[in-house]
Amino acid sequence: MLRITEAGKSFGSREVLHDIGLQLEEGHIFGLLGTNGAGKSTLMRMAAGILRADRGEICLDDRPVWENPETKAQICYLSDDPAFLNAATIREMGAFQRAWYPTHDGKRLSELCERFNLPMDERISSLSKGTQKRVQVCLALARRPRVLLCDETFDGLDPVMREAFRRTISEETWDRGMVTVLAGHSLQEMEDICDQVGFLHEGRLLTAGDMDTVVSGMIRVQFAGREEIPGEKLAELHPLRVQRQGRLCVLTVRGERESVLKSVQALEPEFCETLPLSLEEVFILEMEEQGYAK
Amino acid sequence: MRNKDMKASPFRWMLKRNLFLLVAVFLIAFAVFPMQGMMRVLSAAREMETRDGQLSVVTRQYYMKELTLDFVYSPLNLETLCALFGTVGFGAALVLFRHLFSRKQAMLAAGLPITRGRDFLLRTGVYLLMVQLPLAFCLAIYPAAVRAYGLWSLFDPAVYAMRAGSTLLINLYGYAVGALSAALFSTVWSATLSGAVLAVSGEAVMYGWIAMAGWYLHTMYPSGTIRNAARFFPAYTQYKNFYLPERVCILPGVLAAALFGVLAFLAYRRALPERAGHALNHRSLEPAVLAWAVVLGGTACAAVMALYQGQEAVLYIGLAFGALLAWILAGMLVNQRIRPDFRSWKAPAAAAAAMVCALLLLRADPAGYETYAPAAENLAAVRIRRDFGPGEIRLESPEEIEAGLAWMAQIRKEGQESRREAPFRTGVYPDALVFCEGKDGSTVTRQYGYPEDQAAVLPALRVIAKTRGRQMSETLPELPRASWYPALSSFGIYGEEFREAFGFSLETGGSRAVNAKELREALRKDLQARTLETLQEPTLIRISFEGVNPENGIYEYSEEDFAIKPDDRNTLALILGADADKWIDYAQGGFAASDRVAVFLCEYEETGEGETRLKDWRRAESTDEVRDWMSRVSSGAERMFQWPENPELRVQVYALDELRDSMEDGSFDPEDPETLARLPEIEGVWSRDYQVMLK
Repeated sequence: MLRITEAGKSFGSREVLHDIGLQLEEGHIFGLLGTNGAGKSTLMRMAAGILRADRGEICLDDRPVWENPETKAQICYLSDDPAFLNAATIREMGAFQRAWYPTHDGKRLSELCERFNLPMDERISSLSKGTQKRVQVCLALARRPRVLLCDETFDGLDPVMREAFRRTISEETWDRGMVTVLAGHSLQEMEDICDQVGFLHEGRLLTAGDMDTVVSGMIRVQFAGREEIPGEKLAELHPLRVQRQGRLCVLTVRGERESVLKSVQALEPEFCETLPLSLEEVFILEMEEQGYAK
Repeated sequence: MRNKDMKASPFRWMLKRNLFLLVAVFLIAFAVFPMQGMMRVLSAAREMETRDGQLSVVTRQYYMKELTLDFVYSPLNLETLCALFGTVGFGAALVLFRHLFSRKQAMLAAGLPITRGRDFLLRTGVYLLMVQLPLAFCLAIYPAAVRAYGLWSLFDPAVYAMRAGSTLLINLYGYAVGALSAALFSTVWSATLSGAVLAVSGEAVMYGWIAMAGWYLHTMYPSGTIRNAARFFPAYTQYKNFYLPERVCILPGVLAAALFGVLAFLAYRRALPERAGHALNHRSLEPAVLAWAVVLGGTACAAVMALYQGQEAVLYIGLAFGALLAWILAGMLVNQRIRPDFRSWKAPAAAAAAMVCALLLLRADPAGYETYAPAAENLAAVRIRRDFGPGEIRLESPEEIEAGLAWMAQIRKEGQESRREAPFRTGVYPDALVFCEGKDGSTVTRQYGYPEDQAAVLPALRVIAKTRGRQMSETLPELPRASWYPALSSFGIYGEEFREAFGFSLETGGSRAVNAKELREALRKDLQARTLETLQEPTLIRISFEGVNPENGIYEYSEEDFAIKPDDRNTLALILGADADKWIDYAQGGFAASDRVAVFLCEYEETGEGETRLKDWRRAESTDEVRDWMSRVSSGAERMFQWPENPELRVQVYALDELRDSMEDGSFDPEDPETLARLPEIEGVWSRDYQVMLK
């Protein structure tokens, strides 16, 4: 549905995105994780047709997004810093969307505002930052887009609202077959809601795929040798992280569970077990492997 | 659910969103046009009512001009109007493209489902409806009011439409410049600044460079290089168009509006929303911006310094200093930092180097424009005349061509000398024009300031004067009526004195009736016999012809009056009869015989501040002495053939009784020349107001 092919972007002499390739299908929520300045916002803006890709191609249903009103009308980008028309109320923003987006549903907007306790006729600029984010999401959902790109949208919302919005977006994604991309730094939340995930670092997409595949791509194994296992032996396993306490070793290794266990068994441990890794741990390990904040 | 509200189109939304523009523009335009115009309409309507609808030709012409042209442009000043409505257009563009100045708003707009090109056209459509339409409406109210008050016969809709179109055009031009500025410069202040630069800097640079090039560029005809070059700058031609409603002035405006509009369209399509809030939308523009700043700063500084100092070295120092200063300032503005950024130096340095080279080249005049004069043998004719004046002289024979070229060489030499005194002029009064017509059909044209030392080309002037007389005799207007009037005002005498001398009353007219045909014949003979000496005599009377031209049936006036000199005996005899000799004597100093006047020979000197001061005077002791003086001073007639032998000498005539009164009350002290200079001279009573018609 949304296909990004070898997309790249430079600001002046600085290349911020390199050959990004990604394919997102309807009914999925994709978590875009990345370090600060990795290029998440730029990538999402390119996907929304706001910024032009200097290289590569971004298509929705095989039709380019850039300078294509038909595809742009189906994509909604929610910025981390919500943008509204100057001095507009929610009702006026509704009128604005009605003029520009044929799929805008005014009734739905009223329902959402009522549900999330938002005043229709108050100037948005006078509302709190968190409330403005709620307004932004409600306006986006009222547009009924096919692709929803949320750039740190839930940051600044209270837990109750976060949960309510997460649920609403999940329902919309599954019910209407929407493509949702969430970018943010709350990895626990991402893990809960997303079924696909990608890691972006310094403009490069390091990995992307199903959440389970990405998370299970690394394994943590804990074992104890009969006697202290030499470091050289452990190094042969190419661990991403090593923790040792006497004969007890905890290794984090990239690879399939069975093959990793087989390699560990070759060391003839007294006992051996695997421990689950969270998305956050996988992300941190990936970034550490890239030399980030070491 | 799909939105089925067909009224909710982006264009309608945008119109609604910018409705305040319509209100603002309407209020401004209404206050300027219909309100100002109605005052004129009401005044003209009252006049019509008073006169029962019967207006004289003069009054009718007055109201025609008043109602068609002056109704608003006169009280409000044309430049102000152009600046006002150009700025309204520019401001409207900044309002309609205001999203480009805020990163958030730029991103919001960039995400809308519309192509950039269509978005631009949509906003331009809004401009046309919200700005041009109310402006056009206000401009249309006025003719409607003129018609409603029954004044349509005093109104020229074609001329008015031209002016109204110019107002709309300058507004459109302002919008196009504003849209381009907004697309290229992403803050309000940088867009405003760049808009002003885009709109008028070309003219400013051109004026500066022509001043820096020196005198010779002003010799380009017509009207010098400044006006020729200025035609390409719409900000100039648009408001000049109000003065001179020529179609040729509209074209640059249309072309410039179209050019800036297309550039704005292209720039808007490539505008980067992520650069909103930066001085420049594209970093790649920085070298061009800095280079242009260097050209502007260098030109302005060099021209101003050189105009005040008048030394060539100052010109180059000013150029370097201005360029450096402009580069630093522009760099600070572009980078939005107080600390100057010296990294981008290549383009500004190249611009500065190019300027120095161009200036050296321009001042060296490698094409020899300044000194070029065609060879006499290659010329078919030389035409000389005063700009804006009648009486062109066509010199065709080899002797005449040589004379024309000699005269041209002299006035050019004077121009070059004056250049040495004031090397960086902003213009030369285009008085003397020379057209050298080559045998191959080409024409070399130059315009010069007035020649001062024509005595240096006396032989040439003798030939030219003779040719002038002959040509005038061949082209006398064949009109049925002639009129004459005394032209001795420079010898001011009381009317009573004149009546006593000649039995001629200015109130009742002349005593002798002369047939226009006979007068023409007499004048023809006199003109053919004219020499330079004739032309240097004081003019006694002036003759003009008028009436219905039998060839075309149109009532016409002769292009120029014919100055009659003492040597024009045939004409004078016909008009004045036996009084001719008395008139001649009177004009040549005989007036001093009156016991009511005192005649002084005054000597003036120039003060250091360019003014003249009465240095000394001497009262005439006899009429013959005055006759002698009169032969030595200029009569102030046709300057091409007349020049004061001694410009510091003047003959001044005072009423004797006034002089005595002044001595009594102490306002005139014979020991103090300055007190004489303050006394009123006798005013001329022979003026055009007392024309005497001849049959």
